[in-house]
Amino acid sequence: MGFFNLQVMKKIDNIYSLLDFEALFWIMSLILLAFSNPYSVAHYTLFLPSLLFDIQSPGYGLGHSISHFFHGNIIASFKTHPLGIITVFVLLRHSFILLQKSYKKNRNMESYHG
Amino acid sequence: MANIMQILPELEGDEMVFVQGLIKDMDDNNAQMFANSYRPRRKDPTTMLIVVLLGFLGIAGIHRFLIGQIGMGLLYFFTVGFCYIGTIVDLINIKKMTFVYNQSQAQQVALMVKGSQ
Repeated sequence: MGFFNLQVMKKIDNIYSLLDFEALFWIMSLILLAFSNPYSVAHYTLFLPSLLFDIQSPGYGLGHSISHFFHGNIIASFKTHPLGIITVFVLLRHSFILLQKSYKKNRNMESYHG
Repeated sequence: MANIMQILPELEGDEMVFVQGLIKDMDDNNAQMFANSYRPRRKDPTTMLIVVLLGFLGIAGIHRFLIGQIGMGLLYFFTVGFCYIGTIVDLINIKKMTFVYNQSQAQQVALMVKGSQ
């Protein structure tokens, strides 16, 4: 019974190590944007200065731009925000590296503890 | 056997435990060499936290540059941290990010010290 618990705990630890918070966050965000409608008019922003003063955030339109990219509208993506496409690739690469590190680290610990 | 409290007393928590594990088999000379090389390379968690907070003032991404993530840093800089969303995520995650970076720096320095035997 105790041995069974150990196996279960190891499995949970294994899976948990893949749940690198940051990597998951970026991937979930990209998936969310991929499935959202890029032509919707709603603009949610956390950029406080745009609410207090009348300035526009340099990140304005990034979400819509990424959404356009996932729907295949490359030109629309670039027009909405020039860095949208680059952002997708940088985030994907960054998440991949984080998950890879996390997986390797867990594998090393596994072999150490046996 | 080297004692972390003597050579790197400013370390705290996980970082202290990790580095202690690296230097426990070093003699005092090597441990001092390690400290001299590691200290300028490590990033202080409190400093990193303050740098992340700069993102809320519009200067985002500096912390990413400090831990060698140039691509992300540039993106953060030109989009004000993805309109603050990235800054908030990093605020939650900064301790772990700094620790992972310091870990790899410590391992490299430990290798260097062993290699110079």
